[in-house]
Amino acid sequence: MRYASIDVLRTVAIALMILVHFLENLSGVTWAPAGLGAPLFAFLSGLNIRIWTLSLEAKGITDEAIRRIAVRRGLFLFVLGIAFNVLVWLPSDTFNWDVLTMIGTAMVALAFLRGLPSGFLAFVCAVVFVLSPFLRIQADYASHWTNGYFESETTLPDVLIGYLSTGYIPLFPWIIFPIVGHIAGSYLFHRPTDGEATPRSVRPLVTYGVCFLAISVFLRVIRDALPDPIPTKLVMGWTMFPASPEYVTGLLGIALVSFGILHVGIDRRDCLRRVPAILNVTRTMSQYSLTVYLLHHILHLWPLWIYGTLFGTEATEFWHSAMPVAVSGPLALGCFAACSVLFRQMRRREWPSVESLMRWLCD
Amino acid sequence: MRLPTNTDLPPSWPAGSVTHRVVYRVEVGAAGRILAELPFPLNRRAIALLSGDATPAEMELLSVPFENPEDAELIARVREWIAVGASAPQMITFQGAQLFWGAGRAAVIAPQSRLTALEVLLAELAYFELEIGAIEKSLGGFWPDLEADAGPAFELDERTHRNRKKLGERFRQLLGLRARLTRILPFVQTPHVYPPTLASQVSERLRERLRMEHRIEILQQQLDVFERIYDACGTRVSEFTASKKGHLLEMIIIVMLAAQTMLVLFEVLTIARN
Amino acid sequence: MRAWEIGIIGGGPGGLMTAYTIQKWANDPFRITLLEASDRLGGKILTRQFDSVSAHYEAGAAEIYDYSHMGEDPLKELIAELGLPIARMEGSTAVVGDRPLANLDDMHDRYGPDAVKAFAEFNRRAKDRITPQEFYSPDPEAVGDPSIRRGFDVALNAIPVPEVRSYVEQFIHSDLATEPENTSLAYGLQNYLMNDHAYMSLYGIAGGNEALPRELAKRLNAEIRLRHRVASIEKTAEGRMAVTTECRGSRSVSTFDAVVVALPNAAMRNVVFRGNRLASAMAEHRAEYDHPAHYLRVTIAFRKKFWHGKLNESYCMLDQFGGCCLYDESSRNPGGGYPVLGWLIAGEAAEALAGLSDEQLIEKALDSLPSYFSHGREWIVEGRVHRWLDAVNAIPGGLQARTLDWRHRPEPVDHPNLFAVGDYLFDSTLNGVLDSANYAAMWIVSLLADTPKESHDRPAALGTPRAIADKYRPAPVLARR
Repeated sequence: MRYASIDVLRTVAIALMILVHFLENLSGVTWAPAGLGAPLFAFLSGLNIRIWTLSLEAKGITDEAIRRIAVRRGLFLFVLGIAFNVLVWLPSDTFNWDVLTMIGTAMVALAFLRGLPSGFLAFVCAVVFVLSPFLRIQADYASHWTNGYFESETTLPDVLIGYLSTGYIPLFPWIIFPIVGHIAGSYLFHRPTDGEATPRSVRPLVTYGVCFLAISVFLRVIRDALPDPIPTKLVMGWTMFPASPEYVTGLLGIALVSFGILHVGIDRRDCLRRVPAILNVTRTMSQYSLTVYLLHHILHLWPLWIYGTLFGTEATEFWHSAMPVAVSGPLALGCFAACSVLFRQMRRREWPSVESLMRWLCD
Repeated sequence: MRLPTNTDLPPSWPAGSVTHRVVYRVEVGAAGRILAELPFPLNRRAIALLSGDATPAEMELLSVPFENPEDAELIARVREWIAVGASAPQMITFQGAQLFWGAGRAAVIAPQSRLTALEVLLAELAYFELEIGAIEKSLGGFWPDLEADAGPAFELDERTHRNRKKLGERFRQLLGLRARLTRILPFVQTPHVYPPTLASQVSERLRERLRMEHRIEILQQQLDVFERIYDACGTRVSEFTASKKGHLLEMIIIVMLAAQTMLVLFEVLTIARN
Repeated sequence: MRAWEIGIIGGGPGGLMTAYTIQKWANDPFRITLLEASDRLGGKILTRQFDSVSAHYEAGAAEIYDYSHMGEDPLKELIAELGLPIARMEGSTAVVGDRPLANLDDMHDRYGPDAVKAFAEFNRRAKDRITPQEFYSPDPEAVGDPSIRRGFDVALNAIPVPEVRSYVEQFIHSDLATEPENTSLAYGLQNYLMNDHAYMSLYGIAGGNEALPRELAKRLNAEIRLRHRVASIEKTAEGRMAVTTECRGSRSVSTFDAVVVALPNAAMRNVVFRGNRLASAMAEHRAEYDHPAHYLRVTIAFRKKFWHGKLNESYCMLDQFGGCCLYDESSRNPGGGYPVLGWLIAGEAAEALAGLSDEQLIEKALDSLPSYFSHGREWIVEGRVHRWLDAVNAIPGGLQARTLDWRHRPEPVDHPNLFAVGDYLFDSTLNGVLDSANYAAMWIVSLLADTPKESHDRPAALGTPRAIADKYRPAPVLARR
């Protein structure tokens, strides 16, 4: 079952992602909403796992089969993430540990954990949240980053530490987002056999979201008053790299509140029924979100590498300085629009996509 | 209070003939008059509704006071009355009374001195018959789910564990049916009375004709089957829930150990890195 | 290993049941010879057919008693074992003064509340005297109250309302087969209480009670000699029993290791028991149980079931002939049968009327019908009469019950292998005759198992015939009373 609220939210994340990436990679500009897309995406992926497994259960597929499919999909995403690093970025970026590998890992983990009570999953998230700063301290996070970029050697310790704690999107603490998404989905999208006729209230989700936001604000406020090394090592302010406690709680809050409000407004009250075009666009973009992710990177990075190789000293010569914002911004919007048109065609003509490849390989 | 009158009987019927529209309630209320007090544990009264009361009757009873219960013409008219809606009414002849029984209707022709006792008896028996019929019908509705629920009676998995509320509800309903059946058992299986009264003879004969004991025995056997399955389901659910809780505790411990392992691993990895 | 020769005298239910039980439980070789004076087996169990219509009726034992709700009922188990279907029998109506009296309401209407009270009081006292468990006990001596051996007339006379007294007497007269003063209180009360399902219920074998001896005979692996009247029994020099029989004028002697005399008490007087000791013992045995009771069976087939609607049960009681049972014979057959009514006249009335011709008896039977059945005469097809004089024995008041040993082995000293079997040794019922037959049969099985070929030191394995026989085997008789 598709939920328009998820489509809208995912489209927002995609749009932010395209804009942020184009502006940053092509013009070197870090836009304020940078850092919103990835966690939102991860949260929605957890939510989607819940909805997807429910639909499989409704079709009568056994738990064992569902687990196998989920593991296969997770591994597909993981391998795709590695391949993406190699082929879209550069071979030296193989073990950068981006969002695809994290979501792939989350999918494999949720394949086994989804049957556990939500309370237990929340406990796991809490342990991850508490453990993450200490793992970063243990791993000496700063030593893995140079000039604001993750750089690691291709040694087993570095690879593992990067995957778990110091990479761009490491497991600790990013796996919290898909798990919380799954918990939210478990609460809201219950099985029809449970006998509950009325839809559950979103109030608890929104309340938790507000609490998370409050925690984030609180941490931000008290940070200056905390003694060293807490502000430098633990409560580090709003940072995506590393994902600080304020960042994690803040983004969790934003995700929960926005999803809760959109779910009530769009799914239950059908607020967008008068603008079906928006629903169509968001549905298309959401359906091809994985393809969009790969495609938009290819569209703006490969020309950059080719241009750098041909007209510069190295492929990354013009990275962050290829064009002004006035060009990269519209290019981003154009990319978004082009993708939208393209994917509508793909859907109509049933052309293959990364999603269909995943289904074909894994289901 | 107006007494029920034979508004649906023409004047050609013997004087005093009356039809009672009977319902079975705990309290009389404003519904009518008490026709019979059912035995104490049943906590019910057979209430004859007042004329004009639109409440649907659970049974109808025609009572005809007549000195000669074997009057052929009268018997034919009563048969005609009782056969409305019924397939094959039963007629039982006793010394000093004629009884008729059909689906939802009963009739008695007897001298006035014996009529009241027979009315009370018929009202009682009709209640037992209604109860048995209702239990049979309710139990019939459980059969389609039985096959699906037989699996969890042996082994439960996560998916069927989620249906535990439904299983529990079915078990509760079956226990309710069992309780209803047990409640009327002492009165249906009441032993032969000796020396007999007319009422006891009628009661025994009617119970035999309606095969009440046989039907109750079958219902009990069926309930045994259902209860065995749902009892087993209950046991499996409890075991599963307990093991899940146990597993949960183990998982929490595992998570804590994993966290500790992660810290140790990181220590090793950083040493190795350095 | 020589097979034991067992002679059974009497082809009635006693003889057949004895033979069947021996055959079932004996584990050693034996041969049974069954000697019957008449040309048929079955004795008092007699199901007959009319000549002019295809209808059968019971000419002998009318019904069988069902004790299965109380505990073991060997006769019912035997009937089930033989695969015979049964038909329940019920009857609660008595016709008194030409009007039916079916329940307490009728009694109240007829005789008033005092009568109901008196009857209820008699009923209560009867049930206080004999509980269902005591009723089930096969031996009257097990009933604890010594006053129970007084005459039944004492209990009847204690009923204050004469109509109720008369009602009770007439209601049970056909079961007593004698007058109340001639039987014990226990026996009288038992015949009253048998109408209460808490004590007992009645049934017959669907299709005719004679199916019972027929099925038994079919299963017997025995030599059956019909028309062999036993003239005498005596002990041989070798210690065996010699039985002299007469058949079509010629005599023959057969010797047996054990002999069972399964004859009615009255029929035993036709057998000469040779030897002073034996003759004396058998005379004492016969005298002990010589309380003859009589029955007359009048059965009439009709073209129409004119009693339908009035007689709806298997039988009712008439206040004629001192109390007579009127059977609807067709109710014994599943699905109904040809309309047949049967009269069971008992006691002094039976003895007095036995001398009348069949036609006179049939006329008297029709006269005994209540007025609302009088029109039945126009539908009569055929009538039959069977006389059972001295066929059963009543248990008089004051009679001390004998030990089972004594009853079944009249002369144990010199004739330890001579047994007696009969309903008269118990309660004059088919159930009683089976109890008697089983007792004697298991004794013989035990003797059979103990013949010299067996080791005496080896105990019988549990469940084997010898172990079962040992259980039934009585203690040795130390002295005769």
